[in-house]
Amino acid sequence: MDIVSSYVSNLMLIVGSLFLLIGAIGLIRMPDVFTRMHAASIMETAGASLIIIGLIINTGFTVVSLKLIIIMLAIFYISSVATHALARACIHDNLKPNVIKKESGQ
Amino acid sequence: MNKYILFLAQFFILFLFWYLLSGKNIALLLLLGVIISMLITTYQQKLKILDDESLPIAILPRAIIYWIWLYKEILLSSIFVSKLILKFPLNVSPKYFKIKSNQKTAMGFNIYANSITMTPGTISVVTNNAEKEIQIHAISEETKLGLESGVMDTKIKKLMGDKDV
Repeated sequence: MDIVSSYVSNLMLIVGSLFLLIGAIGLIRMPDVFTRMHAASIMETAGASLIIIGLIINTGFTVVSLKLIIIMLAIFYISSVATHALARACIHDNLKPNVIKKESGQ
Repeated sequence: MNKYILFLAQFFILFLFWYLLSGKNIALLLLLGVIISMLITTYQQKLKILDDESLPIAILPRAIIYWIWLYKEILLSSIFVSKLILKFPLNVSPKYFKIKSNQKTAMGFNIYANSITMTPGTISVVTNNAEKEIQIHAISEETKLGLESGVMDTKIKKLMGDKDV
């Protein structure tokens, strides 16, 4: 049981770190500010939550794991509001999203 | 919700938060926690800011089911956007469009806009509560279609307890 939970938590930590790495690569590769925000939202949702769930499984159900759950909820709510505020500020500053037209001419 | 139930729930949540952040079973700390939670809750009730909108415990059981579904969606679209990032000739075709929501309440609309932003691949940029309309930036055609299918909107209507789904 102990071995299984340590394997599961290690797997979650590794997958979460991979999501963080991919998000960081995306921040560099993406062409404009809105697409970069999409890359950053991988890091703050999937990456952060998988790492925190991995840590919860690692510590077991104690006061520390409840604190970690509070941190996860705070990251979820704050990051979505911050992303929205950033996107809205870009639109307000007349920074138009770089929409690539399809050949059908919509 | 009954205002006594709201009072007790708010008191319990504040005291739980106090207990979690201190993490010690010392009588003086617990007593101080009880007094402070009681003072804050009484003050909130006096200011009349303790209602169904500030403390939505009525939808909490359905919200847990919704959060599990939302988390699954977040993981799936994270994998989708990760594939898009790692594709070697970078091929993104972002979309910028408006979407109508069927939510009746401001809280349902708020949950909808936040859920859109939380899911990687879609960002709600400008929201309009009067028209129930959101301007959305999507990273590709697939995430746009996934949003326009309206699954999330229907789930939030169910979460808010609207009967005519």
